[in-house]
Amino acid sequence: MMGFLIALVSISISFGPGFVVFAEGEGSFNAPPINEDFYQPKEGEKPKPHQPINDTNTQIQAKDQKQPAKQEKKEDDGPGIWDVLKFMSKDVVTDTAAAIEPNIYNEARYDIITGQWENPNANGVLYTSLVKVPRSLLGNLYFQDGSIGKIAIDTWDGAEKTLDAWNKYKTLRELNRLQRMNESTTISIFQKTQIQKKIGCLKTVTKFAKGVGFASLGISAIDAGKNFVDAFKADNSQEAYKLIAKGIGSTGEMLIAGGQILGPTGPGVFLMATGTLLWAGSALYTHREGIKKGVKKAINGVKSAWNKIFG
Amino acid sequence: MNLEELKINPNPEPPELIKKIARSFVKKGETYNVFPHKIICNYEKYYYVSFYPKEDKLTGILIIHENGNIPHKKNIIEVLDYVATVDAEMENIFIYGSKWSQRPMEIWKKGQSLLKSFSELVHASDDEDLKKGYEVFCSIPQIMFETQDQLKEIVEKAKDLYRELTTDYLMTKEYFEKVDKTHLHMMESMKKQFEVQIETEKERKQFLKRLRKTISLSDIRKWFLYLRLLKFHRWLNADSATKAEYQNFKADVSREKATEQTRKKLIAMIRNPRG
Repeated sequence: MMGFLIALVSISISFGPGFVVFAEGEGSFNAPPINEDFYQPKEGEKPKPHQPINDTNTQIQAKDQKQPAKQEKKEDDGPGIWDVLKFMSKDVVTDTAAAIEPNIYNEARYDIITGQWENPNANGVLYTSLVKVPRSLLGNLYFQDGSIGKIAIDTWDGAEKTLDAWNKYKTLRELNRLQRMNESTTISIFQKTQIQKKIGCLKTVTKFAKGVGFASLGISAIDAGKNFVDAFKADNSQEAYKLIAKGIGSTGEMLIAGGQILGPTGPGVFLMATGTLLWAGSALYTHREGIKKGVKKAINGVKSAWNKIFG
Repeated sequence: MNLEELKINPNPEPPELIKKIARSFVKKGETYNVFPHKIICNYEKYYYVSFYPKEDKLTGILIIHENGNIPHKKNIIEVLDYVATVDAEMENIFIYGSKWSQRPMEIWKKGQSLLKSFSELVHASDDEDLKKGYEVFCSIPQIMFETQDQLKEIVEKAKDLYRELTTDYLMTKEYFEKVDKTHLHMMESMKKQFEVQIETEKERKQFLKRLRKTISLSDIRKWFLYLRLLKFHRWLNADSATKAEYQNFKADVSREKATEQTRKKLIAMIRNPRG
């Protein structure tokens, strides 16, 4: 009985006023209407039927379309203020200053590769302004980490850094050889003057070059510090690792600048070599996904070519 | 010091004939170097060639006559002496002499000024030993200034000699003697500087004892100056190692004994036939 009553009440509620009106009309119930206006005819214009939204500004989202994650949105923001500042100060100002440096002193330099005295020329400045700066611009402000463009630029940059470190080592070796020669009796004092001139040229790190080195070291130190702090604040461990890797890369650049300041000495070469290794390690970690994809593609390409030929 | 700038003419290229002969004496793994200047000995002109496997390791010497003949070893020892001595002595002057001549003189100026402040007191005294001790003490800065000027002159003279050889690149006996004399002069000037410091220790000590007795107890300024002079005296006193070094130096100012072993080694390296 109880169950019947509950079912009846439920049905009455579910049918709502319509049912009540019907019941009233029939005279069975004399319950007051829920809303007196309910029965009043609607005034004014008839509402338009529901139309699908076709407005270009309000697109209906497809079911399979993913919601952009908050974090991804962060990455797509493009280069930050620091990235631009770093590019301007390090890649444009200090690199250009370093390229101009030989022209400031306007003295012939002994080239250990050619074994000749060479007068300063505009080659270095041209290379920096036409190749290095645009390359850094693309690498730092345009291409994303892991993209083919960025990998190619970093590979090029890494090759140059390795070559710099290797040349510094060769300079140190040549310097030691010349110094041994200068102290020996194998050559005359009238020949030693040329040796001493070479030693002086190879050994000297000008004040300007030191200044450029310190500026580069400072910028890299700030960048390293910033990356490590950001890693500490990062939302997830993956992001933190990426920032740590970048911090290590900047530390490497710091060591390279330190090596430039010390010149062709044992500690100078050690700093440059260590710095280059750290930088390369950081670049490999940052681009690991892109590199993996590239390797996979290459393997698949070879496989399909193999299958086409021999399959 | 940039010696390259002193050169009147650049190093001449040795004749092909000399190079060819030198090459025929090269042993496996060795390199040769023909010295740029010719050596005139007994009216004959020679070229000096060194052989080495590494830059700092001399292994052989060959002296070739200008006409391509290889003279006997016994006839060319003098040529070796000229070359080895001129090279070593020039280098000694340009490296050590030059550094020595640029030593700061401030300390000696202060010492001289300190001694001057006791001049009246010493001259007013009847103590002859005090006066004698004072003169000895005063001679130290004076000799230092004199010898320092001499050293500067010696370095300048060596530069002139360097220039002289680069005009014609001919090394004669007279040239060798001039270089040797200049070098000896430098060594003697250095010896004087050592001497005046080390060999005046006793006199200085006695002078300071006597001076202490002449200063009035109420003269605080003089006592203060005396303490500074005492400090200067102690600074001048050499330790036993320096004294031993000085004794060696004094016994062989011309460095003949010191270089004798090296000379023997060089003679043994000569590749000219024994004859």
